[in-house]
Amino acid sequence: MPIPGADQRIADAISSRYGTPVQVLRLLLVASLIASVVGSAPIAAWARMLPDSPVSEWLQVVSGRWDRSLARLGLGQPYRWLHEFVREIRPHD
Amino acid sequence: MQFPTLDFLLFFIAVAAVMVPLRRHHRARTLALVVASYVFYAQWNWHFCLLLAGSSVITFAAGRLIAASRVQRTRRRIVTGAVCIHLAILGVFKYFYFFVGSVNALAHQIGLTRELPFIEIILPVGISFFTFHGISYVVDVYRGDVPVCRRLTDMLLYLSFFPQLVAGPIVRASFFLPQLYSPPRATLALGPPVMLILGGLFKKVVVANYLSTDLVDPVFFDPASFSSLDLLLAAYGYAIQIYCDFSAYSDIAIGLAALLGYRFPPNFNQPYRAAGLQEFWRRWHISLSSWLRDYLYKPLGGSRGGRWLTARNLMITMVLGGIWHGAAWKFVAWGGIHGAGLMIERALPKLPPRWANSRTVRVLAILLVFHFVCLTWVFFRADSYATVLTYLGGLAALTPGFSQASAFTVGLIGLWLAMQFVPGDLSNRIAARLVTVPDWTLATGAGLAVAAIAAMGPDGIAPFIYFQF
Repeated sequence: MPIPGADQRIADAISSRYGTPVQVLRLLLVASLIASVVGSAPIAAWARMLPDSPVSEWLQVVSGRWDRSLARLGLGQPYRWLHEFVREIRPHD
Repeated sequence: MQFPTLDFLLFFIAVAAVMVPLRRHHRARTLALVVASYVFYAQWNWHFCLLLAGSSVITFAAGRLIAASRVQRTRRRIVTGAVCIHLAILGVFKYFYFFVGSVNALAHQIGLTRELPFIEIILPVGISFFTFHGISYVVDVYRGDVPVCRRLTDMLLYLSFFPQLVAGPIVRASFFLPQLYSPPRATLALGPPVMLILGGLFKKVVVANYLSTDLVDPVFFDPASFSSLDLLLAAYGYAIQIYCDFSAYSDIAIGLAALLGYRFPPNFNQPYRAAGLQEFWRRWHISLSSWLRDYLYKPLGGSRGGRWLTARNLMITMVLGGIWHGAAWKFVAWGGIHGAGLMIERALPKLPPRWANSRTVRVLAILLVFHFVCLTWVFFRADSYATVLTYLGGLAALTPGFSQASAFTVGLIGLWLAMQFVPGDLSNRIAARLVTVPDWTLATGAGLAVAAIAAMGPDGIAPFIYFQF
C-alpha cells in the first residue's frame, strides 16, 4: 500500500475530526454576537430597509438603540475606521 | 436571499438550530433540510418550488423505473425520456425567448413579416443546475454507476439542497446520495469550512464588488470612451471579478454544506495558473467541465474517433457548454472560441521534453492562456456584439493613458493574480492548523472577520453572476 503524501495525511486528519450540530449552532451564535457588537451599523441599516410591519418597526427601534449604545462605548469605532479607510483609498467614491 | 446578507445568516442560524434536536433522527433531518431548501428557494418565487418538486419527482420515478426494468431497450427508452423531459423544461424556461427572437430576426432578414409570438416566461433561478443534477442521476442509474434512490425525500434534497441550489457546484448523485444513505455522525471540523466561508465572503463582498463597480461596469458600459490600457485592465478585472464571484459562491456553498455535515467536491483550483486550455478547464468550474466531459463529450465519442471526430466533439461540447451559461449568441461565441482553442491545442505537436520542462516556456504558456481566456471573457461580459467589436477595436488601437483604473483596482487584480500561484498545499496546511483552534477562538475570530468584511465592502451587494445561469 503506498504511503500517503503530506497533503493526503492533512486531508485525512481534517476529515477524521468531527464537530457536532451543537458546536455549529454555538459557533454561529457567538460569531453573530461578536459581529453585532463590533459591526452594529449595518444591522441598523438592514432593519431600516425591511418592509413596513410592526416587527420591522420594533427591529428598527431596537437595532437603532443597540447601534447608538455601542457607539457611545466606542465599540463601533474600529468598524467606522475601517469603512472610512477603504473609502479613502478608493478614488471612485 | 443571497449568502452575504443578514437575512441569510438568520435563515442559516434557524436551520442550524433545527438540526440540533434532529441530530439523531436521520430521516427527520433530511426532511427538515428539504423544507429549509424549499423555503430558501421560495424567497425568489414560490411558484418555481412546484417546478423543482416536479423535476425531482420525475427524476425519482425515472430512476425507480430504470432499476425495475430488466429489458435493456426499455431502460434506454426511460433514460432517454427522462433526459428529454429535463431538457424540455430547460428549453422552455431558459431558451424560449432566445429561440423565438432568433427565428424572428432571421425571418425579418429574409423579408418575412410574420413573427412568432413572444410569451412572457420568467427564468427560474438555478434551473440549469438542478436540471443537470437530474440528468446526471438518471444517466448514472442507467449506467449502473449509482444505486437507485429509494426515498423521495432523498431525491428532493439532492436536487434542492440550498447551499448548491441556485449556483452549484453540480454535485453528482454518486457523490451526494451515499451521504444521505449513511447518516453523518456529525459535521466536519469547524475550522476549514469557516475559513472557506470567510474567504468566500471576502472575495465576493470586497474583491468582486469593487472590481465591478470601480472598473469593469463603467468600461464595459461604454468602451469607446476608454484608452487601450483601461480596456486591458478592465478585461483583467473581469477575469478576476468573475473568478472571485463564482468561486466565492462555491466556497461558501461547500463551507455551509460542511457545517451541516455534508461534503461537496471542489469547484475551482487556481485556474489562472493553467499552462494550457485543457488544464484551464480542469481547474475552472470543475463540476461543470467534468459533467460536460462525462455526459456529453464521452457519449459523443470523446477522443476515440480520430482527429476530426475529436475536434467535432470538442466543438459541440464547448458550444453547448457556452449556451448553458445563457440564452444568447455571445455565449455561443464564447464556447465556440474555447472549442477552437482546445482544437488548436490538441493539433499542435508536442514540445520536446527539454522545452516542455522549461520554466520559461511554462511562464509564457501561462501568460498566453491567461490572455486568451481574458479575450474570451470580453464576449462573455459584453452586452452585444457591437460592444465586443468596439472593445476589441479599442484594445488594438493601443491608445495611451488610463482614466478608470486606479491603484486600488490594479492592486486587487495583482493581489488575486498572485493568489493563483500560492502553493496548492498551503491552504491544506492552514486548514490543518485551524482544526486545532478552540471553538470559542474560532467563533470570536469569525465574528470579527465578518464585521471587518462588512466594513470594507460597499453598502449594497450585487447578485452573484452565476445566478442568471
